Amino acid sequence: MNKEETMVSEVSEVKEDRLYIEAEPIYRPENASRNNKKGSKLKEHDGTSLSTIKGDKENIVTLSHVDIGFKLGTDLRVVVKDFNLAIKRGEIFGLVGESGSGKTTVGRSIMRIIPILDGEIRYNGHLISGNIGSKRAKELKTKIQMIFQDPSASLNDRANVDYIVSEGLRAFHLYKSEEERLEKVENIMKRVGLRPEHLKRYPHEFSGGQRQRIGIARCMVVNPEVVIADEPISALDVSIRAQVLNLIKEFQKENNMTVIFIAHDLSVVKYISDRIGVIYGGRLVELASANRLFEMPLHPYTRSLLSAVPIPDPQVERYKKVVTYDPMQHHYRWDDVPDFYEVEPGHYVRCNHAELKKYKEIISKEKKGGKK
Amino acid sequence: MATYIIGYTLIALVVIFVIFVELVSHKVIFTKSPKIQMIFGHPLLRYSIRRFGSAIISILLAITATFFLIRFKVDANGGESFCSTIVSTWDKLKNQPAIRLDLCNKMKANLGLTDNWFKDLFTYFYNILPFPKTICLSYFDVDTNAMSFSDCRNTIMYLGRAFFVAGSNGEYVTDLLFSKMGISFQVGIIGSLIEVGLGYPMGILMARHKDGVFDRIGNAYIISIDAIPGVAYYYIWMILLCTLIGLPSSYVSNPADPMHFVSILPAALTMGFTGMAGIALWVRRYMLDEFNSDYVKFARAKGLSERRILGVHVLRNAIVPLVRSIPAAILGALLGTFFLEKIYGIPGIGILAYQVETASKLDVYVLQGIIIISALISVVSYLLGDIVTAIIDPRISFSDD
Amino acid sequence: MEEKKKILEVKNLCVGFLSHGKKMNVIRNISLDVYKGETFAIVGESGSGKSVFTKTFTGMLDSNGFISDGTIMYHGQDLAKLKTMKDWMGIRGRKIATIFQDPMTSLNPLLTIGYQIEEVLMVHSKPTKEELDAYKALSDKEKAELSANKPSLEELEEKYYKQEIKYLYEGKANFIQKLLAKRSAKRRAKLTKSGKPHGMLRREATVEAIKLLTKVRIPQPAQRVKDYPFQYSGGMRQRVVIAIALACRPEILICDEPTTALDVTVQSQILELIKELQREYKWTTIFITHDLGVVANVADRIAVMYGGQIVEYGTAEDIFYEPAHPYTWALLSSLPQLGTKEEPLVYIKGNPPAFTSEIIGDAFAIRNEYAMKIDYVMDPPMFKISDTHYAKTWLLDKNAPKVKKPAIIENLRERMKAAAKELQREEAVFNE
Repeated sequence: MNKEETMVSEVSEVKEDRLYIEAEPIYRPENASRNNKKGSKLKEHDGTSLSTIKGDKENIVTLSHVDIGFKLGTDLRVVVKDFNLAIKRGEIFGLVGESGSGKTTVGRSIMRIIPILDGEIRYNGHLISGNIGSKRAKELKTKIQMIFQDPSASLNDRANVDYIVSEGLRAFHLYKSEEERLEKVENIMKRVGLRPEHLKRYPHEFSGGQRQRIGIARCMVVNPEVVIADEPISALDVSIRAQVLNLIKEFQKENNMTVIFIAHDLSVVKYISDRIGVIYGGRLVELASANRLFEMPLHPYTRSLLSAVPIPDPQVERYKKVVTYDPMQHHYRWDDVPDFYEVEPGHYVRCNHAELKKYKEIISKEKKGGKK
Repeated sequence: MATYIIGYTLIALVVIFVIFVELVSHKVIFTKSPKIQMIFGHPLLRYSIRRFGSAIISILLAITATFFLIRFKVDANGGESFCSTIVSTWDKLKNQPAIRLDLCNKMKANLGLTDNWFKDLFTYFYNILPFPKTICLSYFDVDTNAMSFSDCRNTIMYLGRAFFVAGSNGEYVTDLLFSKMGISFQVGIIGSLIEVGLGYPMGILMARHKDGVFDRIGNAYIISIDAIPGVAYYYIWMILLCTLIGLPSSYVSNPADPMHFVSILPAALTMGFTGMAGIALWVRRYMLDEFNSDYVKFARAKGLSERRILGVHVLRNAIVPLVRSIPAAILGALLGTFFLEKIYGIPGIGILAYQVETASKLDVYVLQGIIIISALISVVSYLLGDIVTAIIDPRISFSDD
Repeated sequence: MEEKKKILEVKNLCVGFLSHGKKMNVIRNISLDVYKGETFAIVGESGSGKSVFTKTFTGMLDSNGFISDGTIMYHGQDLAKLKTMKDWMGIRGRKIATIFQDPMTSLNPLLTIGYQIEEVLMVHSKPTKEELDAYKALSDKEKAELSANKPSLEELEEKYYKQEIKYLYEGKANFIQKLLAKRSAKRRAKLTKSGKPHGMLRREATVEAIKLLTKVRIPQPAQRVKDYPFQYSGGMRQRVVIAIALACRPEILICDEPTTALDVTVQSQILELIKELQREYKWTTIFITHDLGVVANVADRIAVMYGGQIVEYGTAEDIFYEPAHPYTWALLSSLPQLGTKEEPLVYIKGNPPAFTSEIIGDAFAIRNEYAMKIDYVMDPPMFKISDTHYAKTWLLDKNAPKVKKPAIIENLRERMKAAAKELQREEAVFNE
């Protein structure tokens, strides 16, 4: 309450014509605070392995107040602003948004491919963002792996499948003898539905779906705890998509992995994920369990995404109205700024107070309707 | 006087222009005039100025480095070995060390060399930095033991004088270099024009009729040029052009002579025919890449004729990566090529550099002058290459934001 | 139902490719009619030959491909017989235009958006030789009559001037711009008045280009014509590509996976745009995609392609509500929209045929869980199911056992209707 008061007094000096003003958010995953910044980072090194769980038992990866941006000349373009997210152990988390929304950037920043500007990312409670030393960074790479979008671009054309798949094993010395390595590689090939004799071939000899399965094999062979799948099926035919999705899901179930599944298509994510976060303009706008998000999408952007999913029925589809989203439609004012609020247990929406009230009404109405 | 007026006016104009551009592009003045912003605040202009500025600094650094290297050579062994090369009577005067040392010092003074390296360096910088100045030098003829001449000149850039290079006796290095460059340029520019004028059509035709007869012949030609060493190739062309066709095989120096131009041709043709292979190779390669691109397929689907697709779409896009090298080719012609000049006896700058390096007497300032000129040329040609590329490729932006 | 006019009649089309001295039959005996004004969708996996098939309509097969048999009749002309570039010039781009999959690479990166549209307008408006000859043959009197029929020079000039100011400068022109517009208006008026057939002038084409960009809903078209493709997002580029197709004013528009590379939200907008423009320009659309979900929106009729053959075709309702071919079943049931969390998603096992060896029997048999012995031996004929609906599977033979469709697509219609109602209800709640 106190906070909001100060906020209002701060903003009131700002020109009236600015409708939309960002404020300090209220939602925070546990175990993170904004004060815990650069100065204290080095203290985080306590020599323990990344596998030992520190503090928070439920969440495996937490991002708190993460800003990510790119330098363009002297200009700094911030793509992801104040991003907060806690990913639970063993879940499949779907991150959905359009191109340019920053969803891939978030995924890559967890992998440490893109450095973050501010905030912190934790893995099992250990800090993994910023300057953490090369040893820890290497250790992290055995824990977090990535599956890429374009199976033809992400595989080295000049290397055979054996080399591609066992690259991770070699890099992290995850085998004792050559026989063990071969056994591991052959096993994983069988698991993804390819034959061991395929190992001698080169990526261009495979179809798109097979290449993506090689990509999955390469990722799973090091037995990671977290897999970031960055639009792994966008470049594939519909008929093959299902195969790849099933494969990822099987691996997840079997090894109790955590998967962050990044996509632009809600229909795909619905099937595979436990929880879904919708990202727009570098901010989470809605976060809920997969079923709940489809039952009760609250944010107008989520609804527009849902309406864009084609329905395989000509008659329904011909009369369907596509909802378009315009960020200006909120009419946020300086005295009622949007934030990430919990509308019902486990269901968060980015909205201001007026919208929050409306959303809560809708949910209570729906519950009454359900009782009838 | 005229040199001073023109020199200072030019310097003032350049300074004012640079300041104006910087102010406009930093949005200090003319913030509300989009036209002036567009012309003088153009990122390309600012980029060129900065690039040129930094290039000048690196050239100065290079000059300093070579200056010291040369001075090491000059002052090695207490300067005796150098003295022995510049004083012709050094050995004869074995018994009079004082006299021969005095002679040597006078000779060094002719060259503008003192014992203080740093003083010399600053004098040199003062001389070469482009602002008007009057340079006077008296030349002491060691052999006749008398002041032979003393003359003054108003100049903007003074590169020193040449004494030992064949035929020069106290000649200004600038004059020497420009006259030599003129000769080299005549050959080089005709050669470059032939290179571009034949290389591009050849590459285009080869790409247009891929795997056709012309493509095969062209490929054979390119491979043969690649396979045979350059010198051998030059001699083959010499035999073809001079012995079989009957072009003159040696240079006619008198520009009034009608044979003067004809005598340049063999060298220029040799250069052109050799260089065109490389150009054709790359034009063909880039053209084929473009032919396979999606926008060409779409252009076909739009119903454009093959000729239009080739001329407007493919050629333009294929040339983008090649255009960068064109200014370098043209300006590089100024510097000549040693082998060609040697084979055809053309007294160009390539030969000059060779003479300086192999002469028994080190002509310090000619060497420095060649270094400065070639550095300037390479800097300017790369800058021009960048600018030309930026003009034809809209995707390249030099702006900071 | 009134008799619809056939615009394209494909009969027994076979296309082969020569690769390493071996001939591969990629299109195997396709017969098909496309009716005027409809949207005809061709659905199949990559490698089914759907792109190759449509490329034969514009003569854009790769250099090692050739039509080995069959006819493609278009307005009484057999497109399969056209060989040289010259023959195709009248058809390609002018009558049949194509939009390709990747808008990122379909546009020339070094030319402005405006130029790429203007180019088409100018090239296509160029008078043909016959037109010019016809004009030359006219007597002076006839020529004078031709120009007398036109409005006066001043009127034309005024009209063109206003048009240029309106479109090129959005109504606000400075002194120099006005001068330029005046000059060009004068030139255009003179040309028009003379009655001589002539191509579009550059500035005229720019005006047209701006109009087209407005049509495909690109904001601030007067400024954006001067932009280069890299300054546009993927969706915007696809809009530009559509604008270029519009500039062609085609009778048939082939859309080769136009939305595959785009986001779902953008995809729905582009589909909407294509549909809308089709209504206005009344062309025929041939829509190629691998995603059955997409075509439900746009298609009137759908053909399902597999292994270089059409295995089933019918109206959109036929294909979605009464699919008869096991391959169509498989395609439908692999849609992720239909998946439920509890069960693994359905997918088609194996790979599409590679054409390297001759296909015996039904090409789909090895991947088909409903395959019968005959499928491995004999290619099934096209069975007629209704007047509009045909399928190429032995399951429709009277001796075949009765097979049930997969449960997942069994009551598709009811489920989808319910889902749609749910969506509508939700929207209603929010719009209260």
